[in-house]
Amino acid sequence: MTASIATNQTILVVGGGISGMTAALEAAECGKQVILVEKTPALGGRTARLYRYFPKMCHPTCGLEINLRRLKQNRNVRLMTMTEVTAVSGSRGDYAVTLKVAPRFVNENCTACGKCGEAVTAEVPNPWNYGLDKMKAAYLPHNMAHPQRFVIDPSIVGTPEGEKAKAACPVGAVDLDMKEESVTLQVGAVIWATGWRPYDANKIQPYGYDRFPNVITSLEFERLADPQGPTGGKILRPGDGKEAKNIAFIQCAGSRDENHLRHCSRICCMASLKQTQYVREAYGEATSAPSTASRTSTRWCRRTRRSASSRARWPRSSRTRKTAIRSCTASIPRATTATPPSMTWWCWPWAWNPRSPV
Amino acid sequence: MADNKYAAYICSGCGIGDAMKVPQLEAIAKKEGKMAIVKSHPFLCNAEGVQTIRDDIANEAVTHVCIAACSRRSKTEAFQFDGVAMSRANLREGVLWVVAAGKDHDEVRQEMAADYVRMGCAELKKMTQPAGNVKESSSKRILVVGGGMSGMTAALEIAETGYEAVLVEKTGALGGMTAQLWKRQPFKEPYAAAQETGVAEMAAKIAANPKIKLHLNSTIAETSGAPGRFVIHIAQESGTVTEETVGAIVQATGFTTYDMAKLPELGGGQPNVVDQAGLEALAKTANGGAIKRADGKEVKSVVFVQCAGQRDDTGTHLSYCSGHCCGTSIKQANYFKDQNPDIDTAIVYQDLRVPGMGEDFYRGAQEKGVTFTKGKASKVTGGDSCSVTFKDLILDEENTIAADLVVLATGQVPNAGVDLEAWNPVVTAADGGDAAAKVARDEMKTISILNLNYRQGPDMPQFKHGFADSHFICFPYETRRTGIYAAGPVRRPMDILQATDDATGAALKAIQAVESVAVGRAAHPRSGDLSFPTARLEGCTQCKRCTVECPFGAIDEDERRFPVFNEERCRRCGTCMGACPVRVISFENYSCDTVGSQVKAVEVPEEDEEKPRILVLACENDAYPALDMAGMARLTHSAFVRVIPVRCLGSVNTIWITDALNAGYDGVMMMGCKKGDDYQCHFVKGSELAHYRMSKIGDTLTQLGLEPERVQTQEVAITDNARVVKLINDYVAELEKLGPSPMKGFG
Repeated sequence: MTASIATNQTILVVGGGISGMTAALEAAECGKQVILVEKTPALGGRTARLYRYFPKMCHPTCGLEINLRRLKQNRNVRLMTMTEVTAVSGSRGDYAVTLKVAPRFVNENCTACGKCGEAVTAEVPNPWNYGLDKMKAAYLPHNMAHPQRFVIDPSIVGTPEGEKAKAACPVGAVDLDMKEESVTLQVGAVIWATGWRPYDANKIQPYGYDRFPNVITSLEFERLADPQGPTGGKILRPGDGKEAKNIAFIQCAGSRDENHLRHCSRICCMASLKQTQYVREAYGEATSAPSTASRTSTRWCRRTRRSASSRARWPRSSRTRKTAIRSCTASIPRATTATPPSMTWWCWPWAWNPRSPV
Repeated sequence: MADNKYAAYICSGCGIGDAMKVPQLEAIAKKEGKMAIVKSHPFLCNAEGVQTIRDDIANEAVTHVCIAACSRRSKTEAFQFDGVAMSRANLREGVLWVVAAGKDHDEVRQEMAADYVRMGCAELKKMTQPAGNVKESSSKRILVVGGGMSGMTAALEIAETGYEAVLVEKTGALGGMTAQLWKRQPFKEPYAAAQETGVAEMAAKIAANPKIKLHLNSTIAETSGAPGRFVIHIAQESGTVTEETVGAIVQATGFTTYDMAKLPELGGGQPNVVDQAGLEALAKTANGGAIKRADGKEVKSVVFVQCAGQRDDTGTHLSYCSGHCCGTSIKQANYFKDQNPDIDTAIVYQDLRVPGMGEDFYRGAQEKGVTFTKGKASKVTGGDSCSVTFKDLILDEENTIAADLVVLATGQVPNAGVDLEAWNPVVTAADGGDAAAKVARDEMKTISILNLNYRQGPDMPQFKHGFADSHFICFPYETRRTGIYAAGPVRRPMDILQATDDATGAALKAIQAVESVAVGRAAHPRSGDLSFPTARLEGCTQCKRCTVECPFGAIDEDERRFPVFNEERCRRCGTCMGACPVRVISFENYSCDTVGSQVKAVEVPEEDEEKPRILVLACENDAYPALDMAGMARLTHSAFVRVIPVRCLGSVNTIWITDALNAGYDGVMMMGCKKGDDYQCHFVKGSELAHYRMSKIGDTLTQLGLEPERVQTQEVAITDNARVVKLINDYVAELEKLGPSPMKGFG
């Protein structure tokens, strides 16, 4: 992986999740020069934060490892993390793209030895786990983070904590004077693969996500189930840290709904069925873990929805029902910071989209 | 060619120098490893450290480099030297971070590090840097089999990217199933009304494109060769055979509708009961006017029965959902409503599946007055007045509706050719002289699509339910036949929009295949690998294990039954190498010797030292990263293990195990991916084959006087970093109970 020269044959891929990584690698393996930009400090996006895939119940990080290996040995891809697109101009075959590169405060000398993380005491919410836990303010985003380089959270830069990180680094990799940079590149085509974000569960008022700590989203549930997650793979209620043994899954939460998202996000039903298997795996067939997943017709669903919304009051009205309700919030396409030019290709995650025959 | 010159570079950074005696490691690399140059550096991966190595390569003609530092998965950008063979001794993740800290462990830690340096040097000595086999005459044309929506899309994408396509279609016209439709489901904003199929425009584009060579009324009589040099015999209906040379193949042979005659209880075969394709034909005839039945009567009421012969759990019909039929029935109900809003249209469904933007289409139909009834149809009768009896699943009661016409939503049956699972036993019997089997074989051949002359059979292997292979969840276009990509409903049930996405993806993979093969690079998942297997045929015993076990059908047999390696079909997993009982198969940088020499390089302590030695052969795809991540998390495990990464557990040759046991190792543990139906092996069969081979090793162990527990095979996932540590520690404890290997001292 060395710097590729930006020419009108160069392809810019925006977004380092599974869509972007796939687009970048497939193009690079066809012999094209590719620049892959990612807003966060490491590749993987949302997919890498899932615990398992249906239907095989295999691990998305396994696919991430293959893709990282392809990336590490492919010299056609230039990776820029902590980078966002601020402007695109030009036309097909000749775009000028302006990129904003945020400071990592750690340079390429970093060996990921972890000394800075040990030295720092300040903690910040961990975005990898959707803020379910905290991490040190000098951190490696996750175990398989690529680039394998630490990040200093901007909140400690200019504080004694930042200096501690700098002093602890044996290889002089911590550079607290790094500044935001702006880069302009010429590219021939742009692939927009900025993915999605979960629908704001706070907006679905009847489900009480904003009021009840034990109402969580499907993505948060993935992190709870993952041994690399905040609970070490134990399904613990955020409210009191107790094991959740009765779990209700509410489908179509905020989707297929005139008041929220009109569309169906397609993956949520299978995701919930998959997650019921996490529960079964954790507690075994014999224990009572009535994890229910229901999504059928709209009619059926509306009935379910009504009853589910009354059930959402359980934690308040009945203390005996220790129920974590997880709402499966739908995905909406990520709004873009720059208006995509007309020739931009919209890239959907066809490669990892588990549309398999079963 | 210049002489080989070997150099070892030992990093003392990241705390390695504090916890280990680096000068001793240097001495080992020099004396035992016989490295011409040995250097240590406090920070090998920084610019200055890397420059030291680059200078030695440039000025000292170093050809082979051993890096004793961090894991081979780390700092890959820094340690990248063109044209130089490289081994990595994992002193950081593999020793420093997994062996408990403190003076008590200094001795075992140092021994472990010393062994890894020995192993790195030993491996390096047996390696050659692969140069890749560049093929100047490699074809970059791409064959597309099937001229339906998927095939047409693939051909156009290929041509518009600048490559030549050869498009073969069985019938006399392009368009396949899509051409039989009156309209297609909406595929762009506002997802409200059915849209034109666009088949005619695509067919015109294909006809006008000089880069697409079209063969209508044609089938594939024979496919031979390999990626970059496939030779295709295209048989025309007239009997003439044309030969085309292509570099890759996209198989887009689509589907056939499930036979209605198999659904007599749902009125299959009775008058005025049609399937969705039948309704499309009626709509086409109506041409926007009132839709009439076959008997000429105008349809005033119609019932759509969903999941007809699908999602069947009795084992009689299709067990899967075909994905498109809910949307198709909504579209067809719209045909009626758009023409005359007074026509009664009812859709009897169990679960309505209109994912994504299909919701808008569904809502639109509700607004037009299409009735959606949640129910399971049990009986349909045809005739002048048809009736549909169903159980209403909301009201929980039996119900019957009358209609002029009933439409059954039957499913998609893939056109995938011969099922190799059935083929192989028949061929074996036929080769043995069984006359009936010979007839059966010839009959099977007639349904073959590709007619590959591969040793492993005429089509690509099938996945569940007869769909053509798609062997990764995460890499759906990859099949077990290199350079042949399945696209569209032959791969899994899907609608038109998904099929066009699919065809575009497959076209890209085919382009990648022809580009890669031209420079001798492997295809996915070891994309970029330049090594390839060679066999010393003079040692071959013609046992055929490699030709049978290769998961990718890469190896054929010549007339004397010697293996013929088709390098371009090879994925470089090494399964053949693991299979070979006489060890004649090897890669330049991965062979029985590169691993065997590492096994032998380890210093095995005497019995009275009470330091067992355990060999861990870890699959580099999942198990090795899990071990690495255990190190990153500073989980500690026994320092008695010596880990060697392997390309796939399928590449493990039993000689390594016997060598290890003979040398006095106390145990061997293999860590590979999950096997079975939900396999996670990157090479499909590798871990399964390893388990199978190891199940046979028990007798040999007993003969040697060794307990079967001394060889263990484990399935490990990439997230198992805590588990691998436990597996190792438990195994060490088990072996300590078992006592030292009786083979110690005989090695």
